[in-house]
Amino acid sequence: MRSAKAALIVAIVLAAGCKQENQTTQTSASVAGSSSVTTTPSASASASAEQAEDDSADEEEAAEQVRTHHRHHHHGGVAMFVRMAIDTLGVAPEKKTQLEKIQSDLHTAMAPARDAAKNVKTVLADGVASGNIDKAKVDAAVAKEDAAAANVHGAASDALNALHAALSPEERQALADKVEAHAEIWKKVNTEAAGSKEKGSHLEHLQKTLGLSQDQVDKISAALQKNALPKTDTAAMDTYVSAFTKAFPTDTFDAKTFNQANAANGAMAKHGTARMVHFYETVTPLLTPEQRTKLADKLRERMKDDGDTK
Amino acid sequence: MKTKILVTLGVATLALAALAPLAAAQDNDYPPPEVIVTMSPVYYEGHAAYWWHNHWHYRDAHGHWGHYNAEPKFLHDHRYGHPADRHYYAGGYHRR
Repeated sequence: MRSAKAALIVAIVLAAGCKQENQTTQTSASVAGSSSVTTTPSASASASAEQAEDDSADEEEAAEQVRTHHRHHHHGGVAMFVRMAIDTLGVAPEKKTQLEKIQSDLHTAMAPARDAAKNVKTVLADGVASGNIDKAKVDAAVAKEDAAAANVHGAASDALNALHAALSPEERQALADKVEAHAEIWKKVNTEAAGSKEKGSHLEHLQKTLGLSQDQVDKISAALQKNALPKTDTAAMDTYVSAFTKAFPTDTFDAKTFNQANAANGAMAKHGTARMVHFYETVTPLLTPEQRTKLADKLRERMKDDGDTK
Repeated sequence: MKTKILVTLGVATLALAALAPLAAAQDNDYPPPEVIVTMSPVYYEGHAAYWWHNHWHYRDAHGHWGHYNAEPKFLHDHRYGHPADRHYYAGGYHRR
């Protein structure tokens, strides 16, 4: 009986140790040899709370910015997700120069599509500012962007292979995770319900940016719902992203084997850009002249998002 | 002696089984994609770990999210030695 009691104590101590030291039961990484730091109460609870509030505000700001990015940039397809993923890969300093060169090569590979996308935004911004978007001009600009986007992968393949060669196995997996996360955000913002006023929606963002009245928000929402575009087809992108993120962490990855990539990138540009254009075409007549000027400026600012300031 | 060892092992197994669900309970609370794409990870034990909601989170070899309930010293030291590396995408690339 005494030994059973002792066993119970040992078991509880062991289990508590497991819970504190280790991760969830679904993980497989070993913690042998590692040491941990027990969380101690902060010297000042209010300072911790303030820090948590700041972190939360920073997190939301960064999240809103990346959502805005993916609402407005569709020309680079999955290659753009890769290029963005490098930004936060967290590699060792000695690897940074090499990765910056690869990022620059990816940037160059996207240049024709990026220029075409800039032209779309310029035509849109001019139309928003004047209150009259020239549909024929926009459609012609969009067609050029779609065509250019469908050639990005071919131009980016060498850079993607160089990136794969430069990364360690865990960095490759981290990059694949980030590409998958970018795709998830892109899908979320580009398949959003027409006229949604929910937190994080395009319309809510516009309301904050331009100071729209509730009456304007309701009218814009109704107009977007009335003229809703067909749901964005993400099948080609889903297939490609899934294949890419499975293959990239492996040793046998070769970007040149992804035959579906150009079609997927082209489809992303086609659907994403059409959706963006449709949003601004619907919104523009319901804005005041001052709001239109501000929105046109914001659209022009979006041209700086994709690395040209680097 | 043999019986004592068997009893010890049996009780230990039962106790671990009873407490295991507590350790796994937070598995669904992992960083959203917006955090994954705007934060730089720290590499530890062969995977990328992200500091989020007061824990280090990571994906295991099967793609499942897990986290350290107690902060490993390496990650703790890293966190206090380096400010959070968050990336912002508006109006050109910048960090803070």
